[in-house]
Amino acid sequence: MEKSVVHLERRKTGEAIAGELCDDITDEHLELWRTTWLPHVDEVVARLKQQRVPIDKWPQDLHWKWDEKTAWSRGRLAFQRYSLVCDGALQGLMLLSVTKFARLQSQFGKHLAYVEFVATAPWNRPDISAEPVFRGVGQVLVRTAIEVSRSESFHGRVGLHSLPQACRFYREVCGMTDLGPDPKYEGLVYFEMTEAQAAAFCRVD
Amino acid sequence: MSVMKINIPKEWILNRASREEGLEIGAGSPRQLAQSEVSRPPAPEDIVRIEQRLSFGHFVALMRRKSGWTVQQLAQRADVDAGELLVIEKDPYHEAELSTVHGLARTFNVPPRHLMKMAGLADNRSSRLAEAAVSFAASADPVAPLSESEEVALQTYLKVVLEESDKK
Amino acid sequence: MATKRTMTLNLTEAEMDALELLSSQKDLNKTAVIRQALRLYQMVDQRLREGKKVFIEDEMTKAKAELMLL
Repeated sequence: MEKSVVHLERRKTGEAIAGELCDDITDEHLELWRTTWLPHVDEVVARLKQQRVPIDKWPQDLHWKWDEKTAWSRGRLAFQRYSLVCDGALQGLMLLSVTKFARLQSQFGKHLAYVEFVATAPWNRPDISAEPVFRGVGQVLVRTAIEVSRSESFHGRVGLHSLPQACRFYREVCGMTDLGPDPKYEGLVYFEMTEAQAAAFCRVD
Repeated sequence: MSVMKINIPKEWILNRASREEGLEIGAGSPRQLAQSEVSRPPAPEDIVRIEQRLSFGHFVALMRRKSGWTVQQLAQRADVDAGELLVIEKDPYHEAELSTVHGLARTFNVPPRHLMKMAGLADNRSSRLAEAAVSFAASADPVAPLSESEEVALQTYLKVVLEESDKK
Repeated sequence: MATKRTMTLNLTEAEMDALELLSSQKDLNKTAVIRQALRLYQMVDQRLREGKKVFIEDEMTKAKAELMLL
């Protein structure tokens, strides 16, 4: 298991806080997910019900079972898992696939790193937290997917299906190409990043 | 695990972090499983739960249509969310909210604990009820008015539900 | 900490030609091709061990041929 130092920005103060990116989701990470993310999720669900928010307006990844995703993907070479810990807390999780192919015309049929699932901790989410704690989890994990893609000689190509509320992030912040809703994947919008887009994303401005 | 070091410069994230302000970042199927996980065989208890929810969804749809109500009208009468009713009728992977099941039980005049068993929210030890649920779930066109056979299927199922309730 | 292990691979000329062609066509280095092949083999093998079948379908004729792996 390899650990890399990465930084997140503490939103309140703007300071960079050093954290640890691990190239696996261990049982310790899952224990953190269970004991720190899930209670938050339960509170959010209770609040949504109390406010009578229609279920189709709820954040769609609240019920993701990371223990199941981890157990299933372990031992399967096609998948890689990443976890991000910062300030003593689990801040992000990601499951990648490295056997999928690009659809964008300019890179059609070439291998890319596909983000099966990615999530930030509930306390970082602006849709459910009045005062999100850290910024940068999404970009650090997208950058991780790019670096994995490069190490696999996929030249930084990345693909993913965005949750509806995250399309703006992938389109505007990550600069990915929007290929539109995918009817074979519950109508989620499919995004791809080319080698050039990956290079632009990784540049220190 | 991949065994690689990732090098992300600190100044890179400091320059960019604020661009994430106010934005969600989630990606992946809203369902529990990834697309590529579809081939994993479901556990026996998952299959039972899915069957229960299928019959529950059919039951709600038929009871609603029997009364001539739209989803919206049933939602108002039962004081539940219309969006969730739509999901209950169509999605056997969705676990209904307890308050919704209670609201429906009140509206349909069915014992709440039996509706909870139907919805897969409580253990169903009655094999008769479970078998009736499976037979019942095999019927129903969810859009058209109730046909004679659907009416018969619904009444038969209701009879079992109420008889099982009388036993306690 | 887990580390990568190295092995030497002896291939026939035909196998090396195939590897080089795939490497060029797929825009992958040769190691990446071998790794993809290993992942694909494992994926197919896992499906078969779960009792599933793997088919190749002809898109034009819709004819299916079962892919057998021993």
